[in-house]
Amino acid sequence: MPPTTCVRCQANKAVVKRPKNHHKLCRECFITVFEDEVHHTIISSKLFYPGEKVAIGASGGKDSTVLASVLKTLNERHKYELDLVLLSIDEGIKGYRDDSLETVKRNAVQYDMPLKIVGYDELYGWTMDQVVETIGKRGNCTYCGVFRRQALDRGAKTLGIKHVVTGHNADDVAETVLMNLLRGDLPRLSRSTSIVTGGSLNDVKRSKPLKYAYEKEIVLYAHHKKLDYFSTECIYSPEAFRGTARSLIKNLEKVRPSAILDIVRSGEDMARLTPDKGQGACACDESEGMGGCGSANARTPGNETTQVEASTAEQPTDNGLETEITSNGTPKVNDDDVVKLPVRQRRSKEPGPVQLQTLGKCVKCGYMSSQAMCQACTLLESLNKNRPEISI
Amino acid sequence: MHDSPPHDNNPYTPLSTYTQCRDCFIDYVDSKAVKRFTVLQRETRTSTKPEPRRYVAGLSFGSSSTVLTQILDKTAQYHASRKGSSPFEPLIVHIDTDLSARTDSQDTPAYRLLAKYRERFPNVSFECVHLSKVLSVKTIDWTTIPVPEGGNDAERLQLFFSSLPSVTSRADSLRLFIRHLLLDVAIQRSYSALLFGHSTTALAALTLSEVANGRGFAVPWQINDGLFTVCTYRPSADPASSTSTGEASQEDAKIQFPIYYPLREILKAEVMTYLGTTPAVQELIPSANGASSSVVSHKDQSIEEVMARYFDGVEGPYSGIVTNVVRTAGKLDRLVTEHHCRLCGITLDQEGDSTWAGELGDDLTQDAVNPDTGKLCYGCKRSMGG
Repeated sequence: MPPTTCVRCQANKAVVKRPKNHHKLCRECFITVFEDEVHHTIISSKLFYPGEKVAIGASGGKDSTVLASVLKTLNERHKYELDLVLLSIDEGIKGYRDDSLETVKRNAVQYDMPLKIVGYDELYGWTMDQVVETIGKRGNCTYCGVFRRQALDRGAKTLGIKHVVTGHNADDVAETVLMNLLRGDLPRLSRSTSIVTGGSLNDVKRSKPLKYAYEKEIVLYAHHKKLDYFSTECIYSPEAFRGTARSLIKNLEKVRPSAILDIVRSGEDMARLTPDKGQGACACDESEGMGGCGSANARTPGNETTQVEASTAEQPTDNGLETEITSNGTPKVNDDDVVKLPVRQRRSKEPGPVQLQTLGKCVKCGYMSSQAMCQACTLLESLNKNRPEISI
Repeated sequence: MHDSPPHDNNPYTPLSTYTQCRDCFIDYVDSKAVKRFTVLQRETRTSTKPEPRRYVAGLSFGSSSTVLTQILDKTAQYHASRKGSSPFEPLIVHIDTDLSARTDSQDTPAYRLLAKYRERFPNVSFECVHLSKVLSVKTIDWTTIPVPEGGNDAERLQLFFSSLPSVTSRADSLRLFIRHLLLDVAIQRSYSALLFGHSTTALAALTLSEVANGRGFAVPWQINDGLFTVCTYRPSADPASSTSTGEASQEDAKIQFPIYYPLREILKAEVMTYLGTTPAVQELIPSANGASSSVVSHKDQSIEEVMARYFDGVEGPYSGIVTNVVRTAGKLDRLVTEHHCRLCGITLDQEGDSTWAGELGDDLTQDAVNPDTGKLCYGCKRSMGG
């Protein structure tokens, strides 16, 4: 049988069957098409402005490595004039993160980009290993996901950067759309598909340039570009219910490859049908569970109300043991000085039963939150409360 | 422990967590459906005087639609026995999708099965309509979809289905055709509403199928109860030229028609238990041909089947999510726009089309299939083209 030729250049031997539309392409054409599509996403969503300093949230995994590689290529090819920096979070997971950080360090050299690493231990006083020791494996992803979102912001701030890009791909977004439907989480449904989140209040915006890129194509791109990435799963394995949504996506993709993008499209459309009309894009809980470990927020359907209740509940504080966090690293100011700033008005003629979330600031750390205290501070409080007093 | 709990209002609990006696359970399911009938009557009444309630209900011979038939039959009997009650006249319509059978024959398997239903449920009327009749339905603009000319209607439909690119496309268009045909029967004969027998589980699966088919925008229109805008189209003067030149039909009229899902608060497991209480009805239902058994080839599966399978597996351990999905869909707005998709009949979402940046990268081969893509919504384009 003669080798199939590439449908695009009609010259070279096709070596890739695109997972997205089953076109058979040669290596060069595949790489070009992939990069062109990311470029299209960036241009059509006006993600960057010339001279912008952008931090790439880098975990060393395939998505963020491909993102760094593609952005570097496009930045040079299309003269975005971006100042790219790698920003990594050290969750403090031995046997997983320490190894993947080595990958990021090599990437920094390969792509000639500065690298900044921020650790959970310095930000929160807890490593994930310690958290798991305290609370057990079940539900630890909640802590990790909530902490990571803030850590990225804090890291960016220390670098004076106002834009963080993350490696979330189309599969992640589709999974989130389905998860939010299954959980019945309307506010998140309305914001999780936005390509840009955050910004107005928190002044670090997030975006996901790979939002329309299939996970399988990202793997192929990394393979054909011979990128150096780290492929081990997090040792604190993801939660079962999210796993069912992930496997559902994979089954749908097998039945009809376009399904992933179709779900993303449906998600975007439904966001405009939610009571707050997709206006509430904020990054405080952006794209639930779209973290590097694929299960950044492991909540079971039952416990989410508990968590919301927990975040509103007043809890006694014990300053001697706590690590207080403020938005800019200065000592914590009096709570009374922090004014809750609503960014949008409640629409007057909204139907009654659907409650809208209002974006405000956490009374403790100033991070954006729809509750009085942000999720990270709430979780920290519960952790610190149970931490035994350490004497030297 | 009691054998039968007191007759108070139990809060909604999944079946597995509390025991009910047989009669209480039947009452519980019946009352959930009857409550929806009451809502339907309240929301669609046009005058204060009692008026006849004439409803068309779809019957697929599946478990849920059979239970709907059973409850409609009971309700009709109840109203007939009460002098003060306004007439309650359901028409149960089965759409025969067997395209190989003769369309005018009265001796098809569907007819024979329907005769058994008729015998079993004497208080409601039944009718069998062949799917090929959909070609004369005016609520679809037939110039926008590629139905081949020549041959009889059943053959044309058969050719159309085999020309579609995937099993999912076929399942999706078949579902739309059945919906249109039932709607057409209801409107043509001046019935006052159309009822579907979807259980909560079926509605949840339908919601996610719609989402996976790129029809997220249509979800509130497809899933929620209420008035549905129906457009009819007048074919342009010369039917032969209209398909070849791609000239679309004229929009003729728009009417509002109520579509309801009375079993929307009953889980599939409850439907099955309900059927189990009356074996004589259960026996009517043709046994499913191994649909939910072991894994088959993914190529022969449709998205609908994948979703049904997912919810079969998930209803037990995470039953809360089934209701979650339907309730969430219920909170989405129905956006009214001027133009409607010429196939599925849902309002067209021009804003979504203009902001969409996730093209599939099909530019190489596109536009060979359909000249009228501007008249179809994203989901229908996907169904017709790939």
